[in-house]
Amino acid sequence: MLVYLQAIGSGPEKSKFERIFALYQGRMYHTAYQILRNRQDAEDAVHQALLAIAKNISKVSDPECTKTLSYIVTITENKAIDMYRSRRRRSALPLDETMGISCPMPDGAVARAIVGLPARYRQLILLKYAEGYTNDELAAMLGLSYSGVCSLDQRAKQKLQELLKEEGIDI
Amino acid sequence: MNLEDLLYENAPAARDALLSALPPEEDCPPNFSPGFRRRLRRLTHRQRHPVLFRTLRQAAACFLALLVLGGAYLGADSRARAGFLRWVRQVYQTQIVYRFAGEAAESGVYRPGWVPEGYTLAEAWNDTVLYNDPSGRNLVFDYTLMQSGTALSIQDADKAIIKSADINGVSGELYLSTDASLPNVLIWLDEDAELVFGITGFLDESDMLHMAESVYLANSTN
Repeated sequence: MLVYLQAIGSGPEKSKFERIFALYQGRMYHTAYQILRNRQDAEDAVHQALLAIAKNISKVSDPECTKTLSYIVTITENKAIDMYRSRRRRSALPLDETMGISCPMPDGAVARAIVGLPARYRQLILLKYAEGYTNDELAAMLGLSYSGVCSLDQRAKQKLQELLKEEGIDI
Repeated sequence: MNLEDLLYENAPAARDALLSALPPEEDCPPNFSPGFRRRLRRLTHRQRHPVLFRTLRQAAACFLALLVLGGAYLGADSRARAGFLRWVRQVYQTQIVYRFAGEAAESGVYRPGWVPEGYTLAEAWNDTVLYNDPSGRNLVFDYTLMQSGTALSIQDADKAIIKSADINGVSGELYLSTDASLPNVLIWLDEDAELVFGITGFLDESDMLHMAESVYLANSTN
């Protein structure tokens, strides 16, 4: 927690951070545990997610909105997947192919295809196209360079087109 | 309708499906361990007493400075200093964990200048570069900026012969796998940059070292 505070600047941002933790700690732990299936690892993932949130706290405008919940869950899933990978002896598995948390299939072929994307692609698509974060903001949130975000966006779209093609939808 | 428009139109439904799978907050109270809760309490306390904690931090910094100045051997022996002040290497039954206990600096972007013949670049992120050989096996170069309290672990360390390595004057450790299904691992700790570098792949010792020695700072943040 010491590091969180180093990352957070002013008083209002500190209370925003506390509010976020109070509102979402259960769902953060639930998300991490779904992937890691281990209490200690899930706590570590939540810890890493809190560090990332603290670093980007200025990008959270309202702690109590769907956009913030979506961001919190995404970052927690992202950190849990990183941890899962690091637990596999510095795994040589491609990062992009890791699947994250599961959910019911939505109506509509495109929405279903988005949900069916590997987690890294899905996270970017949702943060960008559902929540409206810019590539600059996404770079900071996901720990990527600007060009890394653009490249991930392209790969995500390619994969999505492949999934849609399998459903007979050619775009 | 183009793909971008379709994404803007359909991503909210996908987001809603994902969030709908989460239980309500009141139905999933986290069962955090006492250690995690202690860290939370410290956070709350620090937020209420920022001046006190700033002072304590300054005192701790002075203590560390004295420790460094007083420990002549630590100053002379970089490996000892790394082990004592920043990096702690812990050996468990089948796992070796490197823990970092310092404050992290900013990292630049590092890249290997050489990879073995036949390997092609598959993906590159800021801190991870993935190569494939013609048979599809992966070779990963990555590095981690360590923050206080975080750790890097080597799994199945009992299935490897561990050798010391020297990468351009920096100490490292080579884990040569005794199990053909597991990759070899080379890690080295750059205490000046506060980074741990790693190469994971099915390369022999000589190629691992050659690749490690070719790593260069491609883009500095300073």
